[in-house]
Amino acid sequence: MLGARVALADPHGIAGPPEPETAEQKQAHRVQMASDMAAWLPRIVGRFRYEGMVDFNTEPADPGGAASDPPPDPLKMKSARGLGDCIRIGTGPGVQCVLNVTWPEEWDPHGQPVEGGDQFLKPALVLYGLDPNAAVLRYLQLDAGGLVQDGPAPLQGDTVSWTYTTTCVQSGNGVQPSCRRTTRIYAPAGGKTVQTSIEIDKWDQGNARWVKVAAYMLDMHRVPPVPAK
Amino acid sequence: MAAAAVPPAPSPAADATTGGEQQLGQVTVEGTRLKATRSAQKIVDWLKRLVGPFRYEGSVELGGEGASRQALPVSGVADCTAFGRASGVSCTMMVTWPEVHGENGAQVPGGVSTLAPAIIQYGLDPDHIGIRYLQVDNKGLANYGQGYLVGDTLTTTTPCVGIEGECRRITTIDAHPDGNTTEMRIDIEQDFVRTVRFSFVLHRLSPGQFRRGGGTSR
Repeated sequence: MLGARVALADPHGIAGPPEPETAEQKQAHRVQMASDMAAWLPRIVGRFRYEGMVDFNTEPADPGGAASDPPPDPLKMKSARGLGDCIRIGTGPGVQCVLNVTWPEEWDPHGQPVEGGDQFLKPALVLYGLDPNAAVLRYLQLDAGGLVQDGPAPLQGDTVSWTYTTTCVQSGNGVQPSCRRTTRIYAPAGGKTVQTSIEIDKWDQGNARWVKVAAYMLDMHRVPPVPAK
Repeated sequence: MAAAAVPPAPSPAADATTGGEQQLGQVTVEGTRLKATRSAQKIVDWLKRLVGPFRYEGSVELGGEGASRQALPVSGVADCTAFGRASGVSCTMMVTWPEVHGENGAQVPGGVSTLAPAIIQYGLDPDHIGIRYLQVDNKGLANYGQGYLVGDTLTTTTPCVGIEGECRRITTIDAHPDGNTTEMRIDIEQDFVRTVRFSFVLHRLSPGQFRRGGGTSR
């Protein structure tokens, strides 16, 4: 794939920086990416049953802590279930999905849902299309609150991913920290299962680092179409 | 107060009195400068105007400056539904106009409708107190925009999708306060010259009218 083009290995380890792409190479790259993206999108078309786990890391950030996030604690994980229905837009590769995924809500001691603890995918509406000029997919998601997140969603291999940074839903002590949601959708060719993961990180101003506050690991199992009566 | 001088422009009134020979040298426009709304509630109220079944009419004007212009009549329907507590909106549309091709069947920007069908989603951007939208047409192409609401009008300027070179897409959506009419204008400018203008007027339909006109629901 042209998208994964790398400089040839230099046996002596003295290779210079890769030469910049020519206009023709850039155009060929865009054409190849548009083709790859158009081939990827139909893989998420259909009806899916969602099954998975949600992990809320409600522990306060360790002030002197390491930069890595703590491993998930199986005892704290909650199950998530739901349905998704994705349709093609006409005969093109564009896709619109309606999701309805639920999990037990997670609340803090003050009676407020923790970041990501509310059921923001109950329901959600996601639209996907091609931006061949930028060689990316574009998405726009409306969550259960009707709030929007959108942007470019590059395809790498069989995975489309995006990160959306916004003000956290839950503010702390009057400040409005930033939160980022990273979504990855892995849809291999011919697969019966599509895997989606969402991670929510919160900016820890005191330690100047992102702290993972929630993670969702969702398997989407393709459901056979219901025969018409 | 804002004052702006605009380039000479043909005026229907001037054409009527002088046979179209005379043009105004300068037009001074005075008015109140409108600011983008900073009220999320006003944006939600504006988004609600977009919800419902609509009939499309209007025109697609092909041809750049200096070229012969051609206005194609538009017809179609759209069904827009509210989504979520903050009034996100999803519209499915089926909009067409007579096909126009270039020499030897070459593609002409805007010459063939890609909106039959197409889906557009709008939502409130709470961080910027603005509106974001994404439209995906029947070729899978994604046109997107983000902007602020000024009065009843949302205006966005974005790069063109699917058109090479220096190209921008200027979209203006004016949703009238009565909720019965929405005007949309989309200009495609290539190398700073307008090559296509889509002028759509959306008229609200009763549910019965929409069913008779043929819906495009899921």
